[in-house]
Parts: sequence; structure tokens; C-alpha cells
Amino acid sequence: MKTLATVLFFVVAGHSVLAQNIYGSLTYGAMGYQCDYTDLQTSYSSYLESMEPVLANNNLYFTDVDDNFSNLGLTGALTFQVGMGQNGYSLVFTAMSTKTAQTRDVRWSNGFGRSFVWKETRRETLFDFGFYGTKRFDFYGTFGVNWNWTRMVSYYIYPDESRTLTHEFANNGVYKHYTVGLSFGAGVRYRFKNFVALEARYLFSKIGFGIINKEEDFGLSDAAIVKHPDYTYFPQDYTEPISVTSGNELVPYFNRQSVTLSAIFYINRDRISKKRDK
Amino acid sequence: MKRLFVLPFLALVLSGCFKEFNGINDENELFAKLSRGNGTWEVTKVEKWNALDADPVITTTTPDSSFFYFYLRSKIVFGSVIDLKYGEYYDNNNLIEEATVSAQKERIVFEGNTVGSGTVYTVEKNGLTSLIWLHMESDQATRYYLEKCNCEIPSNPSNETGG
Repeated sequence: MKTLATVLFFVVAGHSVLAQNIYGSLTYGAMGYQCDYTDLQTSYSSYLESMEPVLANNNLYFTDVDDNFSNLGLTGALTFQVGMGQNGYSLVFTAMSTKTAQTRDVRWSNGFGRSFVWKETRRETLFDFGFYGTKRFDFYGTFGVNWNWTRMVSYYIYPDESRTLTHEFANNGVYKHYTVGLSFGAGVRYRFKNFVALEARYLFSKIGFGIINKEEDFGLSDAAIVKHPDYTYFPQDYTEPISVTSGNELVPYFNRQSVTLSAIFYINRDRISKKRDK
Repeated sequence: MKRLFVLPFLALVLSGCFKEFNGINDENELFAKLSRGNGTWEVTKVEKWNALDADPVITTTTPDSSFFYFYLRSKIVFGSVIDLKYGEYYDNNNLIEEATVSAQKERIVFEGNTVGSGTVYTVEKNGLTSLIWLHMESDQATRYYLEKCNCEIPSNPSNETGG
């Protein structure tokens, strides 16, 4: 609601002060990112390590193991922007949403296995403060808040390829956690033709700030009644004791750097009025 | 005058943009969808097989009158009214299962009365008006194909005698 009010304020303000440029767009851009998934990768490796003796005791072995989770990726970015420019300066509110998912499967020789599906929905609400560098370029610095919904879905795989979350297997579950943090970066807009500009934005999204930090926060958890309480949290290290009080839980504070390319629409009121005058 | 049209339009666009802010990590994010309309989902097909077989023989049946029903049930707890999310499963108009539910995009749980108990359905397909759920009991797999319906919920026999 606050966001809506802020955006509407900018629209009304933009109209009322007759800003030179009014920006506004709802576009789908492309984002390349690098995310620090070290803890997630450690968890996956520890699962493999913990399973080796278990399989060996049952005369089983790994037949297929996916590579670890990747730090790099490409995804789409839904971006909404609204703002204004006046006297060489611009102020734009930006809301950006991205969704990513990675799946890693492990299979062993009797046909069974486990599948880890990592999902993220990240939202950024940003303020871009900029100036018109040249006739065609806007430069800006950006800062704001990131809101992240993360979840790990851990399935058991049967020989017939069924993936199930049945509670018969303690490691099955839908583990979730919500994090917030601060984001900052910079960008450039290239106003290559009237009404349309291309935008490139670099953003560093740091999870946590102040008292909200990894050491104090809880980890990914699944509070379903069907789960044994000791398996409420998704383990950071499968080779270490797992219990609700052990502190052995994956806390998804995964900082991300990203570059987003998108289009933005704007209205140059000066140019329009000049055309009218002609 | 133009602004009067622009502002509501933007409000609509924005409310769509941020709709998902609500309840993404809710324990019951799927319940609103399940309980939409009169909250009933018809079981159009049931498949059963042994999941230990890499190439299993699948038995398919088409139930006559089988559906799931999701709704909010109000209860008074310590003097306060609370709404519980309920799910029921009817087969041939007979109530087979009834419990509070936890409905997520990947998993539907009909909760048991004790920790560690309940029935788990793994969501294989989460369409707008169709769902596919997988239930595993030991090694026996049952797949339910569900379609949004307006099924008639069997009424409870009345205790009133009229006398």
C-alpha cells in the first residue's frame, strides 16, 4: 500500500509540476546475475558425503549425481518504473521482480534418489536519482530494499521416476525463508528515439542490514505437522547432527550482483510542446 | 480529466504487480485457489501402480462421483472465533477424509491429530482449473486428476425431528 501511495505521488507530482520528462513503463527485461550460493553448495556436497557410507552399507552406489548449484544465471525481470525529470535531474521509482529455480538430482544404483529444487522470488523496490548527461543519455545511482522469498523443495525419487514429498522420508519437505536487505547500484538510460529508452542497470543486492543478519536469523524451515520436529530446518551440513536445536540450518543470505537490460518509455513534454508550436 | 483515467489505471496495474507480495511463503498459499467458487474439485481419473517398478503396470479408473471440497470452518476457541482451513474428500458421496489442510504449491497436507501424522499429496501439476496430485502409501502410488467443478456437497442429516 505504501508503495502504491509512493508511486501515485510521483505520477501526480509529475503532472502537477509539468515535469520535462515523465517516465513510466511496465516491461520484461533480461537479467544476468552472479549469486553467492556457497552455503547452498556446501549443503549439497555434505548430502552426497553423508549418503556415501549409507549406500555402501547397503551395497549401493551413486549412479548419477548432478553438478553443484550454479552461482551464475540468466533470468527475466519484470520491471515497473514511474518518475519524472526536470532541469537536468531525474527521480524514478523502480519495482523489479525476478524468479529463478535450479534443480539438482542424485540417483543411486537401486533406482531411488533425491531431488533438490531451489526457488527464489526476489523483489527490488528502488529509487533512481540521476541527471541528463548528454542529449541522449541519463546516468543515475540507485538504492532501495530487496525482498526475497526462498524455498527448497526436497523430493524423494522412486524407481518409476515419481517424485514425492511423502512424510515417510524425513528429508522430504518444503523449506522456506523470507529475507530482506539493501540494494544499491547504478545505471544508464539511452534515449535512442522519442518515447523509448534502453536501460542497463547494475545492482548489488545485499541480504540483511543492521540487526537483521545471518547470525541472528533462522534458516529454511518446514513447519508442517507431518514432519518430525527435528527435521524442521533444512540442514546446512548433513554430516553434522540434525535437530531443531542444533543450529545446523541453512540460512539463505545469498548476496547477488546483477545486470538488467530493459526498455523504458518516457514522455518529453518540452519536445512535444515544441512540435505543437511549429 | 485525463488524470482521472490515468490514476485508476495505474492503481490497477500496480495492484497486479504486487499481488504476489501477499502470502508467497504462506503455509497455505494454495488454499485461496482451492476454495474458490464452492471449493470443489472433481476427481476425473485415478491411476494406481507400484512405484518400485521402473516400468510399472498402471491401473486407471474413472470415478463416478468423487471430489475434494475445501472451505473455511469457524470454531470457537477460548471465546474467540477462528477460521480453520478444511479439506474433505468424498467418494461416491461418502465422506472418506476430513481434516484441516496445509495447501502449498508443491504439497497438500491433510493434517493428522498428532505430530508426524497426516496424508500428503505431492502437487505434480498446478493449473488454473486442473490439478494433478500424487499420493504415495508405502510403495503404492496413486495419482489423482482433478478438475474445478461445482459439485454438490452432500448435506448432513438433520437432527431436528420437527416434532
